[in-house]
Amino acid sequence: MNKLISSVTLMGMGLYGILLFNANKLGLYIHPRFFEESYIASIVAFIIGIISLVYFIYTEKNKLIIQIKQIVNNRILMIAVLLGLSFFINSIFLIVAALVVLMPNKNGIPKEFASALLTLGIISIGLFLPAKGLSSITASQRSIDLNSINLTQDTISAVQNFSKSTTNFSLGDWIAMQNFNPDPEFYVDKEVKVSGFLYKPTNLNLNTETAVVARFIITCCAVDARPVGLRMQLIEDSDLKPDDWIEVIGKFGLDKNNELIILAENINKISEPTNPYIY
Amino acid sequence: MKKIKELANFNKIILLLGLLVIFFYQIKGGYNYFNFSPEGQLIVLRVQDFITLVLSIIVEAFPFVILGVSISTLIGINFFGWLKKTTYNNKKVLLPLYLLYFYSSKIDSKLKKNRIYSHVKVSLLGVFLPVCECGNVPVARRLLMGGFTVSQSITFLLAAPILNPVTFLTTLEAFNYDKSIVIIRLLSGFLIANFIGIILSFKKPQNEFLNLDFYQEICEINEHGHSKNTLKEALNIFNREFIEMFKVLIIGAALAAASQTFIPRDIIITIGQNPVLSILAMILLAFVISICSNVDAFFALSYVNSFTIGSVLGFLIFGPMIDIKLLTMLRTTYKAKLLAIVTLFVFLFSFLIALLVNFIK
Repeated sequence: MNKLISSVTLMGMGLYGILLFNANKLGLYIHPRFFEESYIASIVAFIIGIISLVYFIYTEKNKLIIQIKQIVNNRILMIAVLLGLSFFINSIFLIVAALVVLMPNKNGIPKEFASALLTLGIISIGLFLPAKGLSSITASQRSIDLNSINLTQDTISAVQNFSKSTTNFSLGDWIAMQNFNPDPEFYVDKEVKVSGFLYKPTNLNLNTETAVVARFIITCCAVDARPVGLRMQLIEDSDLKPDDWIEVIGKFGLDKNNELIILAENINKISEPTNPYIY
Repeated sequence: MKKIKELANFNKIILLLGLLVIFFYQIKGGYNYFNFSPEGQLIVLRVQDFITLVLSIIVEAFPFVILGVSISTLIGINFFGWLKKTTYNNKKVLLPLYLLYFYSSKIDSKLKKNRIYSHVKVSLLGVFLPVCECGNVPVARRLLMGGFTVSQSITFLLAAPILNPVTFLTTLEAFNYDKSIVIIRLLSGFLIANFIGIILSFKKPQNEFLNLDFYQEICEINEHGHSKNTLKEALNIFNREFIEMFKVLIIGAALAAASQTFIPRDIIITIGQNPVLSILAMILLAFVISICSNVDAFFALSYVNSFTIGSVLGFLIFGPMIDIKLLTMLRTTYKAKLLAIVTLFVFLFSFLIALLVNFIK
């Protein structure tokens, strides 16, 4: 039975990786430097999964049929799985669940069922729940220093391009530039157009009209994400909520404490981009 | 007996009724399950972030698990023995490969005689296996099955994530401005792994350290020997090792993500500049964050400005050797007692090295 679970898991994880890569959503979870490895591993896993599935079914047919019957007989867990599926996919699964309730039962719980539930559960979560980036809840747990960034290749080129043009500067570029030259006066009246999610940190003592347009920086995967952001002046009467993705157009200015702040002229709501993080 | 049966039927009816209610609710209301109050939405966001974290650890570790399981399978079907024979027969064509396997073939003969020599050699195996910590576990399991002692496998597990070319290159790239960090990291990884391995090798019999299930597996393999059908053997090994690793990877990822979601990182990080507390904080961070040793240097780099240099080194030394995800995976093979000892030793050594660096620099 373990072999069957294993081969299905291999197939499922392979499929999940391939789908994520093709939908350009791998970036929600890991740094681009892992993309190729992840894609190759997914393909390998998918192929090995299919080969083993076919092989095991072909060679151990009778054994498998008995074991599958045992699992099907284990109704409570079946019902739980089907209920879950009905939530995420279709209410058709509820009818199947009702059929499971009505089925006769003889045997106890097979030992491997827990591992099957675990692995198939995580795969169905991956495959059927919409992939999402981290939210401001996580940001609020991790924000110590909202504008510290490492100079990577991209950000170094941003610093080098500063004298030429800043129209294409992203949030990451501005923050890298600020690390390079922390003097706020230097940026006043520069035009700025950045996108990120709206975030109201509690530890910065911001007033109600000020918020932060923020993004996460990741170096390996979402586990190590750190938020960075720029302060911005909110426009009155806007119905923006934390976690809304926004594009801010405006100019840099200084607030009362002499901190750099974006004086927004226009704030547009946008949908979450396919690569919401800074790498 | 009759009563019990009646009770079961009664439960059945209740269950069916419940399903019916949910069904009509779904038909009527569509899929508005996530329309919560503002407080409820916070919980939903938190759960959503938790799921993202779990999936990100799994997606990130998956290629390495596949690589590790593949290598383990190749060792299991004696692929390297075959390769050795082939390279030996075609020495001139495959000279570099031959040199590599000349090196590895020497391990077997001297391994049992000289304690220090054998551990040093095992600790350098990682140079040929650029896998991070989670990929090393299946390889170590296979090496144990192939006759390694527990102490040698522990040395391999501790040394390989640090002493491998990928980790070396990324650390060099991240800490390009201060190469002493790279050297200290590699050296201390080498020393700690060998020291712990050699201490453990004095304990006899070694098999007492192994998890019972795993020990039985080894015994079974020794009894049955290898089957002749290589494809079947390979598929069997691959699937068995994979599911064993993947199960605990999920649990480890869930534990790591939970500790991330529920322990605010602020608490860990607010103690930046204290020479002692900062080391403890960074080691604790390395323990809960469980990121891949191949790239953790980039992550550590972002703490260089706000933390003492020794604490960053503590992170770089402790993180690859021990973390939550890795401990759950190791639990499939070793007894908890051994893991506790190893964790304690690794902690003490990395703490001492970090402290030393803090006082020198």
